[in-house]
Formats: sequence, C-alpha cells, structure tokens
Amino acid sequence: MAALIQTLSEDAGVLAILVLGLSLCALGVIWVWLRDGRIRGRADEIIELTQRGQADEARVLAHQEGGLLRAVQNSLSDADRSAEVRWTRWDWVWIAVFQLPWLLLFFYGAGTVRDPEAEARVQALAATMTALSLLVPFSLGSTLVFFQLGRATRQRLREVTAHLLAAVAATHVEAEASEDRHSIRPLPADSRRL
Amino acid sequence: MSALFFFALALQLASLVGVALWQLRYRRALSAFQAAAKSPAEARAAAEPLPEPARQIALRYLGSTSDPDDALCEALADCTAERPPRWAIALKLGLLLSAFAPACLGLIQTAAVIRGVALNPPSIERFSHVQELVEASFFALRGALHGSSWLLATLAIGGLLSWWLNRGELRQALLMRALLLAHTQLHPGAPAPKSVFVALRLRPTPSLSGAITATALWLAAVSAAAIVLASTAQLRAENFRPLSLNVWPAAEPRPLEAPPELHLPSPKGGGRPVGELSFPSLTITPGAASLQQTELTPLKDGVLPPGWSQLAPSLTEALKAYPRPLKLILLADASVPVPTVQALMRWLHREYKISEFFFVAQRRQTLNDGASRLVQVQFPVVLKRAHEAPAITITSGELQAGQLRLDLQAEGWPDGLRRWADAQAGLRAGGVLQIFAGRRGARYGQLLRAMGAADTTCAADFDCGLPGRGLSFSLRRPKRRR
Repeated sequence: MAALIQTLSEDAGVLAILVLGLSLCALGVIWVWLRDGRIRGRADEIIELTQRGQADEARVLAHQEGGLLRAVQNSLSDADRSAEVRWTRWDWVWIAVFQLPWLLLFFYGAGTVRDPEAEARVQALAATMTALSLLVPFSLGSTLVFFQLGRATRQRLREVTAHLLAAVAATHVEAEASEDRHSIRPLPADSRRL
Repeated sequence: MSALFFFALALQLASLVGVALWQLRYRRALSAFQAAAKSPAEARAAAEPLPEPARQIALRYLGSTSDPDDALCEALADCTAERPPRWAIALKLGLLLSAFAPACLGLIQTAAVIRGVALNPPSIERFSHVQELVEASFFALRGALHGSSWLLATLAIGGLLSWWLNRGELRQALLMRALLLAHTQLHPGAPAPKSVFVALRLRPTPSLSGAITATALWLAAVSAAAIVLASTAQLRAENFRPLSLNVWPAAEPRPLEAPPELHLPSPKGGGRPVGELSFPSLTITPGAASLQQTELTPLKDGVLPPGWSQLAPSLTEALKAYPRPLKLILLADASVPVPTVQALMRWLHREYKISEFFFVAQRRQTLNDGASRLVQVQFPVVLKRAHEAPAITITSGELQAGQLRLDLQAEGWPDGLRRWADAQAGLRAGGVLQIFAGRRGARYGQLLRAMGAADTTCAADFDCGLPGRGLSFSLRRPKRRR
C-alpha cells in the first residue's frame, strides 16, 4: 500500500484525478443509496395504506412525494399506461459522471511513454497505470452498484403501483361498466407475454 | 496471473450454470403448480416446493377466503415483490471485479517495474537489464489485458443470458401467468375483471425503445473507442520503438577544446562520454606538447627531442589549483607515436605523481532523425601493472592478443580484436586490459582504435552509437627479453 501511494504521489495530476474520481463515485453511490432508502420507506407506507383499504390516502402520499413516485401517480391517472417506472435524467447524468474520471485519466496518461530514458515521463506513466488499475474497477463497480440500487428502487415503485392498481381496480372496472362497455375487456393478443 | 484468470472464468461459468439451474427449477415448480391446480388441496401441495416469495404468494392466494377475483388481484400485486436476493449484487460486483483483476494486477506490477527502472549512471549493462525488465513486464501486461478482455466478453455474454433467463420482470411474469392459469382451473368460467385490469397494466411494455437505445449506445461506444484509438496512435507508434539509451551529453557533445591542427583519433566504438572536466589537459600535437597553456617541449613530427625533460618548465605552480589526486586529460593527435605519449606520461608520473589519465577520442553519434554528430569519449588509462589481466601487445605493424596476431595494415583487424575481447572473462564491465607498447610503437590513433575495439559493445566493426563496456587500460612498455 505504501508503495502504491508512493507511486501515485509521483504525479500530482494523476493523484488529483484519482481523488476526484473516487469522490465522485462515492458521492453518486451515496446519493442513490439515500434515494433508495427514502423511496423504500415511502413505498412501505403506501403499500401499508393500500392494504388497509386507504387507497385515496396512499395516492395522495404518492403524489406529495413527487419525483419518481409521481410516475406512480401518473400511471394511475392514465388507465392504459403500463406500471413501468422509467429512469430519470439524473440517473443517466450520474452514470456518465462515473465514467468521466477514468476517461480523463486515460487521456492524461496518453502523454506518457514507457521509454525509461525520459525518467519523469516514466514516473508519470507508472502513476497513471497504478491510478487506472484502481479507478477503472471502482468506477465500473460504482456504476453497477448505482444501476442495481436504481433498479431495486424501480422494482419497489412497481410494487407500489401494483398495490395501488389493485386497490383502485374495482373503481375502474365499475366506471368502465357504467360506460356501457364490456365488464371485462378482452385480453389483447400480446397479453400472452404474461 | 493465469491462475487468477482461470479462477475468474470458473466463477463466471459457475454463476451462469447456477442461474440456469435455478431458472430450470423455478419453471418446473411453476409448471407443476399449474398442472396440480385442479383442487385447492393439490394446488397447495404443489405450491410448497416453490421458492420464496412465490411459495408464500401462492399459499396466501389459495388460503384466501375473500372473493376469488379480489384474492387473485392481491396475489398479482404481490408478485411484484419478487426480486433477486441481497447477495446477488455482491455476486455481480465480484464477477465484474474478477474480470478486471488480471488487468489491474498487470498494471500495478508493470508500474512497479518501470518505477524501479533507473538508468543513471548510464551503462550498457544497466540498459540491457532494464530493457529485459521492461520488455518482459509489458509483455506480461499485454497477456493480462488479453485475459481481462476475454473475461469481460464472457461476462457480457453471461450477463445477457442471465438477463434473458432470470430478470425480475420475467420471474414476476412467469409467476403471474402460473397464478392466472391456476385460477382458471380452480374457478372455471368465473369472471375476473379486476385481475385482468391489474395484469394488463403490470405486463412488460412491448416496445422497441430499449433495443434502439442500446444499439445507439453501443454504436456511440464503438465510435468513441475508434476515436480514442486513432487519437492515441502516435503514442502507440512511439512506444513500439525499442527503448533508447541517450548517454551522450545533449547540450555539449564536445566539451574539450582542442587546437585546430590536432586530429583526435576516431575509434568506432568504446569509451564513455567525457565526464571529467575538472582536471588539467595535456595536449600533444605533431609540433608540441603542452599542459594547459604551458608548452612542455617542442616535437618534431611527434617525436620528443633528446634531453627534453631537462628543458621542460616546472608545472608545480600550474598544477596547484587542481584537485588531488591529480589526473590528466590527454588530447593527442592520431599521428603521434605511442612512445612519445608514454614518455610524457612517465615523466608526469615521476615528477608530479600523476598516474591516471583520460585518453580522449571522438566518435560519431547517429541521432534519431538519421543525422549524426561528433561526440568526445574518454578511456581511463593507468601506468601501474594489472596482475592477471588480459593483455595485448601493439607495435607499428602488428597487434598480438594471446595467440591471435593481427596485421594493423589489414582491413577488419579491430573486429578480430573485438571478438577476442568478447571471449575474455576478465574483460567484462570494470575489467582491465593491459596494453604493451614498445619503442617501435604504433601511432596513437591505432592505439585508440585498439582500445575502442576491445571496449566496444557494438556487434561489428561499426559505430553503433552505444558507449563502451567500461574497461580500464594499463599502458606499459613490454618486458625486456634477457
């Protein structure tokens, strides 16, 4: 470890990019983890309300939360819409941010060559290689964790949507029946996908 | 490194096989549940082997006493709670890191090697050692990067198969279908409007947008990789060149000033860059011998006049300013006879205790752009005897090295001496070569050519631009035969 730090400290630019990259990745993962925790808590409350038969309160709570949970509300407003919850703009921004440091380091290190005659450049190359070996797995690992946590959040939102749909299904079916439509809509051909 | 590669590969294959087996078991259990759903009791028995949370969902549905449509509706909503276990993310992270492990380890090892590389002070032995180290290290790194590439490709294929077979939405959909089919068998002909409403909205969206986005991203990534490769082509071309050893002084290749009428010898190899500039210089032209600005004696065609030593001026004051022990830089014309040089050296040793000299010659250095320039080199020479050291004897027409006799008028004699020197165990770096030169001695240019041929690191009789192996020389008169 001491040798690694010694190698990295040979080039201040490499060290700065490495620290920046590790910090950004850690920040992104913490952000998505906190968001997942917050939404998970809200989702549990909403599911509990629907299971107690308080669907209206659950919908109000989902609407108040805003952001991702608003997608749930929207899916309930539009009866023909799927319960799928999409990725937000911020998710894509974070995933791009995770890749920036190691790409930056790659181009920074592209100015170095392995010729030991150029001693300073060799030291810079050694520092870049060491930093890349740390930053690339960390960045891609962070991306994976971010992606998985984001996916878990969406799964939880899908669960919320499913319970809210189940709670309001009777109302929708009655409304459709009163509109002199079929009480049970025929299954479309692609419903075999289920 | 290969053990790490095979371990990562085994981990990937094992996880893929595990996913496939789990999926097969899940599908079989769901099929058995559907087939057994002719009565609640049979369905309950068939639901027991289902993995969690499918088992709980199915049992809760079968045990519900409420309206069948409501029970199915709740069960379908519960299906969305089906998600991968907590350790799945740790497994995925482990697989990703294990795929990168060979490349990362290779990078760290190579960085450690090149960080330890030191070419100062420059020497051909050190350079050869460094060259071997760096080449071997980068070769190993290339293997490690290939290993990681294969692992990443395997991981991508494995991830795709895993997504295709075992993604959360698919597992949920399979469970929902099993519940819907079981419901139709348990309650034939009964309407289930609420369940159909929920099921329709929970089904995956049939859309091509995901595939189109993935294709666009893939094309963007490939384009970016092509741009990166193109923009770093120059660097890769630069690194493709063999390692270089730039030992010659960059600023001043000829730091010693010689009179215009003095023609320095030009050996085709050997010697080191001139590094000793703090000592006085002895200049010997065909017309005179001078120490710094003081003329010691006039010469006639390089030959000392009789009784010159009695007439030579005192150098005590002139040498006071120089560091001790005194050494001397010798700049002599190539045409000067070696006995003249030896006589002056012996006189300086006798009168002023100077026993170490640096013979200066010049070589032609080829630059990277194909041009060339002259550089000065020095050969360390002492007067004292070196016991057990290999020896050569040089006269005006012949050079004798052991059993080898070389005609100095013939072409290629330095190459013969180079091969003889290569075969001598005592002439490795730091070794000493004794040179005997008598009264019928050779010219100074021939002596320096012989010293260069013995010291050269070039593979043939041409100036390859590398410094010498680092020999020292002992210049003596031959023993008198009795």
